[in-house]
Amino acid sequence: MTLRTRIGLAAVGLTIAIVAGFGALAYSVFTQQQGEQLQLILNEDLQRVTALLDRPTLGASFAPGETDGVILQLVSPDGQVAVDWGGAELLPVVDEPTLMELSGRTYIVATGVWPSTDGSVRLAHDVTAALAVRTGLVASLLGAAVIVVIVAGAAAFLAARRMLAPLAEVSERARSVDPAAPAAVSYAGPADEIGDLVAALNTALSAIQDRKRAEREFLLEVSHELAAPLTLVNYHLGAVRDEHPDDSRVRAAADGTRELLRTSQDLLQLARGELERELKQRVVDLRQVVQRVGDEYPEVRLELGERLEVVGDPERLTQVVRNLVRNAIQSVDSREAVEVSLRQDGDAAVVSVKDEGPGMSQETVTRIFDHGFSRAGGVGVGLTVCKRLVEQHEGELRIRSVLGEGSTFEVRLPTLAARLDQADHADEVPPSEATP
Amino acid sequence: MDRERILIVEDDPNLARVLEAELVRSYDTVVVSTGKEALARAENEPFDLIVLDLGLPDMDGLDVAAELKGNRASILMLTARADVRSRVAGLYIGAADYVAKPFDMQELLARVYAQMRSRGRQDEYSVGGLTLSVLDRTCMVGDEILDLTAQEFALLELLMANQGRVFSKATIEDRLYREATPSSNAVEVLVSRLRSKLTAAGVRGLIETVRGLGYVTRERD
Repeated sequence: MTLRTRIGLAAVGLTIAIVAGFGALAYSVFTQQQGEQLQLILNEDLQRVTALLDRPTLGASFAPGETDGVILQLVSPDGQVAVDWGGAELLPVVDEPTLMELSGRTYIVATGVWPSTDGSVRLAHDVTAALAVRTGLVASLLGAAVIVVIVAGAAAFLAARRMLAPLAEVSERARSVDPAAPAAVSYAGPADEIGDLVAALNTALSAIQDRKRAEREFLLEVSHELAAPLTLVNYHLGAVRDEHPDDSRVRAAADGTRELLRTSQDLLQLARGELERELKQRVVDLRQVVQRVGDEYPEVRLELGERLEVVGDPERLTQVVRNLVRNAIQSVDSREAVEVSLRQDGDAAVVSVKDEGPGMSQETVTRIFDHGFSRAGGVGVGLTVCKRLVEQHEGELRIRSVLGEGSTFEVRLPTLAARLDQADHADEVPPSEATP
Repeated sequence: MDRERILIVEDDPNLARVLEAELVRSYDTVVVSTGKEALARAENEPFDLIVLDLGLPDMDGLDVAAELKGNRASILMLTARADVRSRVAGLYIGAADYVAKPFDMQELLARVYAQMRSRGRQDEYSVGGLTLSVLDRTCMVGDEILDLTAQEFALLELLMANQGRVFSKATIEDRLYREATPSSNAVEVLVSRLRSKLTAAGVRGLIETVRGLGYVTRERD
């Protein structure tokens, strides 16, 4: 149940309780006052009757005419009924006015003293109609209560919705907080409970951000310490390898260091957020890009076709192909089992990096770009960087893999021709017909 | 022809030595290890390129770059602290390019060559029968002089001096309209005017549109 519903229901419940209390109070006050009123009238009548009887001229010969709703009985001390007007049965002697049922109607009965005798005057008023008003009152009160509860309930629901709207708004903003850079949630409302909640949330977010920043600073600090030595070791080992081309240990060390350098570059690019920055766009011949990577990994087979131009950052594109080649090399025993080919497929320039390694299951393929997922032996950082770079170039990275047969990674980029606006040339005659 | 001169500002002596060993093959090099020395040398001697490490012992490399802003030399920043912020600041201050540590020496050399090449401003560019003479600011098609406004000339020079590079409208605006902010379609209007002048003179397809990116003049073999 939502908070809004609970607040609404609580308000309805409270309204019912208050209305019921007021109704009960009003009813009891009314009945009490009405009862007192009826008694008062009866007593006054009784006094008048007794006063009339006291007059000598009247005496026992008092004989009233027909009157509806009134019973008057004069009873002598020995119990003889001297006068019985309107009564079907003998009224009882009561100390104070009392309600009683007589032949299906309700009467209020009082007893007085018959002056000059020791007998009694017994008087009764028919109050059936007066008491019926009470039932009417109950009905009116209930009707009023239902209306009040409905109106108050609706008002409570609307008010709850209105008051809780900022909360829903804050939730919506909190949901859209970017986990990579948790910026504070903006809230313009007053410093009430919701304001407090937002402030507390923002404090937590900013603490998380501080922590992230600190971790990043630490990583950059560490990388600073490692960067210069790694650059030097890579450089010198490369030189030593060139001097001793036949020494397999030197070659292994130099190759390993180069991989270490590349992986550090990928990691640092991710950590520094460099992949988000704008590309330096040029017209690039992919053949040169693939050739450059091929020169770095001479054992890899190259299949270069025609000149194939795309738009992009040549260094980033080199990094993409290089990372795919490195990834493929990690999965095969022999580097000759890796082939890089270049072809055009409609509007797409396609670089395929094919290996004859163990291949991957479909599940592995779908998970390969998951953060932190690593293919057996190799870290997924290179591929993550690859994917981002390809997307930055408005391209697509496809993977085909069969267990036991190897994998093919395909980079598809829009060709330059596909991206050139042909409208530029629409109003031009073909070059062959141009003036010399 | 005189060799181009490079000032290497690097406090790590091993790295400085390696940089010098590589660069001295093609250029005259001077190595200093502090920001103060770098500023003093750059003020008194002409350099074409300054390879500047951002992490110097006495000064922030960014401050050094800021003070060198008026210098004729291009700056190639070298840093391990290469987050986006320092990159943006570096380029804003006027550094021409940037290499993050750790780096492969071949890549650094490639960047240095690229810098030197783009500095080597030619006096004349020729593409497909069109000759742009930067010194006397004329544009010739065959024997005819093509009459261009200053801005049309500047745009053509920008594209021909950087053949193959795709310039966004924002970059062109930035380069051509330094002071005034042009109207939103000023670049489009300029390009279309220049194109129709070129077409009228018989030069076609020199300026091409790359959809979603900008304009380019391709290198022609």
